Amino acid sequence: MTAPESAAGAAADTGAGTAVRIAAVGDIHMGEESRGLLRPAYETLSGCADVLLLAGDLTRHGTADEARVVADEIAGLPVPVVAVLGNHDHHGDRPDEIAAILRASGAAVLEGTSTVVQAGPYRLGIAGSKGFGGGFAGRCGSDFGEAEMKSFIRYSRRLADGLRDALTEVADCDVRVALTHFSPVADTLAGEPPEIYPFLGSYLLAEAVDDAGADLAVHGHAHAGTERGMTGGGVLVRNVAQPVIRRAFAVYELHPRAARQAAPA
Amino acid sequence: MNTSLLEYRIAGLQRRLAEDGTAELGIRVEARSGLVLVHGTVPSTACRDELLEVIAAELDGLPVRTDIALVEALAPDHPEVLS
Ligand SMILES: [Fe+2]
Ligand SMILES: [Fe+2]
Repeated sequence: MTAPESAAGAAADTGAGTAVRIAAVGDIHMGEESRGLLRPAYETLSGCADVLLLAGDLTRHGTADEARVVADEIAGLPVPVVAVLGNHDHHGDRPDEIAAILRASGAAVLEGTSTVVQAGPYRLGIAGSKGFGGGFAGRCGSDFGEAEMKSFIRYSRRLADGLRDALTEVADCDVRVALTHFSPVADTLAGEPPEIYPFLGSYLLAEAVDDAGADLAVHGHAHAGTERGMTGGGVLVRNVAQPVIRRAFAVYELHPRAARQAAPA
Repeated sequence: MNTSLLEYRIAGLQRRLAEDGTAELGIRVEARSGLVLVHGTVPSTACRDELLEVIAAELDGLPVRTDIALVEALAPDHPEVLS
């Protein structure tokens, strides 16, 4: 690899200590052919972010070899790495092994669980689940009929419940982020064919986020969607699928409530 | 069964892109007047070459236009400040 040419210049060191700076990307779909592609950009993270969130679909086919490419890409980064898996990471039917390989490189891999990262003076709580499909309120599948249909919807509900519980675990943090692969809202799917929305996300995730509370919800999966959206309860949503953000990662600066209240208007 | 109908050829390509090793679920294949448009974003030039090969084989004999972008791997030049 050649030396990284830092494109993070303008972002460098802004917001350090006064904001929680969240770098996030999903759908990096790595394989042997993309080894090293993202590393130069990731090495600029110490200047612009407190954490790197990976929103699933880290591999192409969910193989151990591909997971090792991802693990090498994120090993020893200057900021903590927190990930959820995506549907591609499940394709090889060995999600636990994929998660273990990523954990061995230092990443936290969440599924119905949470982790806390120290971001300057603030505690950042991250709750994660892959999530699943089913569709959005008024246009979604039901837990009814064939066994396959019921298991589809029950699986989606189980993961959404896991996200709710995980967000509740970190209720005392200054800032909370919900990290999923599937989308909690339809807003960020704009650009995808409406007919496939039920395969791209579930309102159950948004309901969990609104019930338990969060400052930001980050997801991937919808490669042709758009970046910005909001839950019914007013939580900001960002689709960070790499084809959407068109960068190695996006950075979001959040100002914790306490800091906002203390600051003069 | 007429598997040469355009809509089945398009569905066949999308199924093959997802299931047969390329694992490209984010690629759109659309019938436009007079041609088939295939567009989307892939992670590497190797993936793009693989994709173009499958498209050529699966849509052989049809007028095809492809618009396949590569993901951009640069760090962002500024954060989004959320309020
Ligand atoms: Fe993806
Ligand atoms: Fe996905």
